[in-house]
Amino acid sequence: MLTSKNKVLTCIAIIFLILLMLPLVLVVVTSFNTANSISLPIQGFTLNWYKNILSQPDFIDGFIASLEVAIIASLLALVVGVLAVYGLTRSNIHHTSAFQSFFLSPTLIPEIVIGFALYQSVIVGLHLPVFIGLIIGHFLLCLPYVIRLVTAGMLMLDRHIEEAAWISGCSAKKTFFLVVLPNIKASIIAAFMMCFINSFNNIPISLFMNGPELTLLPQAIMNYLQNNYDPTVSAISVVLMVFTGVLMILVEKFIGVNELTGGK
Amino acid sequence: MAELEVKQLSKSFDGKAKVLKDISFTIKDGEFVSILGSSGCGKTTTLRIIAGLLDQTSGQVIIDGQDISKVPVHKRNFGMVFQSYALFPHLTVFQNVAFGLKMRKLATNEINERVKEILNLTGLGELAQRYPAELSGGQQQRVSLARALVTKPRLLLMDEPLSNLDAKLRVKMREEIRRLQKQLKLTVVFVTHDQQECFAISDRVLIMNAGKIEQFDTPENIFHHPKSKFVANFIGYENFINIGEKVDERTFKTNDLILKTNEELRQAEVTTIRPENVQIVDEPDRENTLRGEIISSEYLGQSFSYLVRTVIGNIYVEEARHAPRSENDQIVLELPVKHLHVLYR
Amino acid sequence: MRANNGKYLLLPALISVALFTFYPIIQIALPTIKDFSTFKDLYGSFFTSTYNVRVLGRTFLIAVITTFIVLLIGLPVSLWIARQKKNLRQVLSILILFPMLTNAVVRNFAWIIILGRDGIVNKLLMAIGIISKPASILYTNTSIVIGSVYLFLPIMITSLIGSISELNIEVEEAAAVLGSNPFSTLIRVILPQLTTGLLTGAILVFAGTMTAYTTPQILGGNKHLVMSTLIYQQAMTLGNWNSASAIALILILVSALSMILMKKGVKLLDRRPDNAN
Repeated sequence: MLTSKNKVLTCIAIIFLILLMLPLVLVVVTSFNTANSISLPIQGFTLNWYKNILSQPDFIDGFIASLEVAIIASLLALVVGVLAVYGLTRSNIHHTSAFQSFFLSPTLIPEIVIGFALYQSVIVGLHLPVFIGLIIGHFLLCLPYVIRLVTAGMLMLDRHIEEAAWISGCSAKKTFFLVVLPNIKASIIAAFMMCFINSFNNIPISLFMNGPELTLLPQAIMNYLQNNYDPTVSAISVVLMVFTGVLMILVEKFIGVNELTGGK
Repeated sequence: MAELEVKQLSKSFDGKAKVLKDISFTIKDGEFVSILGSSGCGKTTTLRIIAGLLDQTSGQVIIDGQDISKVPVHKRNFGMVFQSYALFPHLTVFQNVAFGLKMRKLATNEINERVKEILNLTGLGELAQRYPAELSGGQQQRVSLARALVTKPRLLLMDEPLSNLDAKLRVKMREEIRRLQKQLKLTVVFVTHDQQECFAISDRVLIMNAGKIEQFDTPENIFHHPKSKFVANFIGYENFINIGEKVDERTFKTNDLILKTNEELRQAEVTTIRPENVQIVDEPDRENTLRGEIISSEYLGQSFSYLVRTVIGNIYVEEARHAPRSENDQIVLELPVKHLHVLYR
Repeated sequence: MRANNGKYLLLPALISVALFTFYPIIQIALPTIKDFSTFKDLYGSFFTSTYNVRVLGRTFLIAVITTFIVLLIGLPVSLWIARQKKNLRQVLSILILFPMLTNAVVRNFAWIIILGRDGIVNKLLMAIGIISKPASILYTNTSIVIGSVYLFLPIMITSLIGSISELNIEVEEAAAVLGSNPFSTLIRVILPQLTTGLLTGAILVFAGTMTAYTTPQILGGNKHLVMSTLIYQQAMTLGNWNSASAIALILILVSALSMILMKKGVKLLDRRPDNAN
């Protein structure tokens, strides 16, 4: 039998697990290099590149803009998505799976195309501000995560619990807030986290919707990388990794990281 | 508590065939009624319509003379115990029980008082601060019951509440439910597929089959006088003897065998007798006796069960004895006149 | 609930997806098919240009190779992780999740450090003496594949761990009792039960690689365009918006078609009891 004790399997797995982590470790190492270009092995230790992040307004503004877009888009997706999932799982609607597919359909469209199309219709066509375009695009990125994770959570919830609340004299609307929401809390937090992280990290959707006045952080890093090859990129990368790490610790503390992948 | 009347209730889902076909019955104030039937017979549908969780296609649900068919579920003031218990996982035992009182906007001290009272009555006093996940199945069952009772509902509905418990606990809980019902003078509708359970607990039993009522009577009457072949079969009658040719009002002839019963034959075609009522006797020439040969035997603990081949077909016999009879034994069976029941449907 | 109010809850989602996904795409599609000559001009010229066809072919090939490699690595790694004790399994799952949740720019940037002219691979190869001057690994198809594999491996592993932990271990024990060695159990017993999980993962990776922008942009350079970078180039660098729209639509079509075909494959191969018909 193939168990964790199998030697061949163990070797393969450990090699690739190391390969998975190694590139990120290298990024961390290069961020402390005293040399002016990104290279290994490092020649000395410095924290200057981290200081340099602060003198890049694109990074600071990008971070704030990314944060705003990610939070607003995630919250919007959460409200719209949770309502839709509740409607789908708890009423006698036919063709549930067709609706489900429709809500997940943004995942079928390449992200860059979503960004491209939104740019043309929302910004060029309707003359709306870039920020609105970004929110819409990232909302579309987020919605499928909400639909998937919250549907999984709703399916785990015993339907009779709501019925018990109704019988106890609780109206349908109140039951949703008093009984349903508290019991799918974990899925909702997980969905929010996945939305937030993916929106924060996304590039293709925002590709067409940026300019001198508004550039999201990942795009700002890419722009910097195209013109400079110094360890500032490593430093900001490390900052982002720490950011991801902190989010994961928070998730683990409140709901368990496994919830993020809808796992058990 | 209150009297429940169900009038010509019908239900079909999405315009498909009816799962309930014009059923009507009345449950008296303070009465414990079980709805018994196999899965898919419409018993749970009936209960859910009474509760207001399902809309009927036609018919009425009447409580104390008031038609509540259009009253939404949360305004009916009923209590319900679910098969899965359906406790609120995010609330403690105390909060679970207090939920319905909070919905009724009672004062905090009255809520506390009434919750404490019902928790003590159901033996849950110590567990008030626990969460459902920290309770055993039996404890969850009690919480579910306490939650249903605390609002002083007009009607208590129970949907297979005992089926998730092990056999011993099931018996204990059903005794407790019966005790509470009598003490609090509750009107109860109890849905189950367990014949023994509902006979032990109920004032009357309503047996359903394919969306219709087969028989609605006291357990004793159903046990001794099943009205239809379905009911007889469902409550453990295994021997069915065709009425071949009527000799007089209470005598018939089948395969040259003359059999008598205490009941009028009328238009009936079948009679039945329980295996434990068939006697194995010595003298072959008495009334209602016939010869047979044992085909197989089975040990039941208190008794032995035999399958006996006779001229009128195979007959199951149960006999309390220390040692089994052997296969191929030739024996004489008596079908006592008073135990041979006529099935009119 | 008794009332059928549920359908109103769907409205916001229905409207927003229709308005923000389908309407804009129709809007970019219409000008490209407004009359036959425009249609012929845009789509015809795409397929008659060897350059563009080569980009499409490269995109497809990179996606296929990446998917294959990710499957090949993902299976043993996820099998090993899924068969660990619960605590270690959780730690390892988090370890896999970390790169998955880290910004793609960061992850691709890491490979510049490794594969660049001064990167550690070149330094290593020169130190051993295999090559005398730095080889160009970065800005090739190979570097795009490597970056894509790195990007999608965590997703595949995570998804496979889920499928593997659903397997009934007694089935493998039965195979072992019947005399099957670990390798033949893997091939004859585990793999057939995992076809759905493997194909679902493969669809994710394939579609993701096919439409990815960040990796080919950072690791592909200007000479190795794929469909997404071509769209960007046509629109932003050349200002050729209609042509970009046409390429976008071709990309949607090709990736959707591949996904539908693979999903058909999943349904066809799924032999688990609850799906038998």
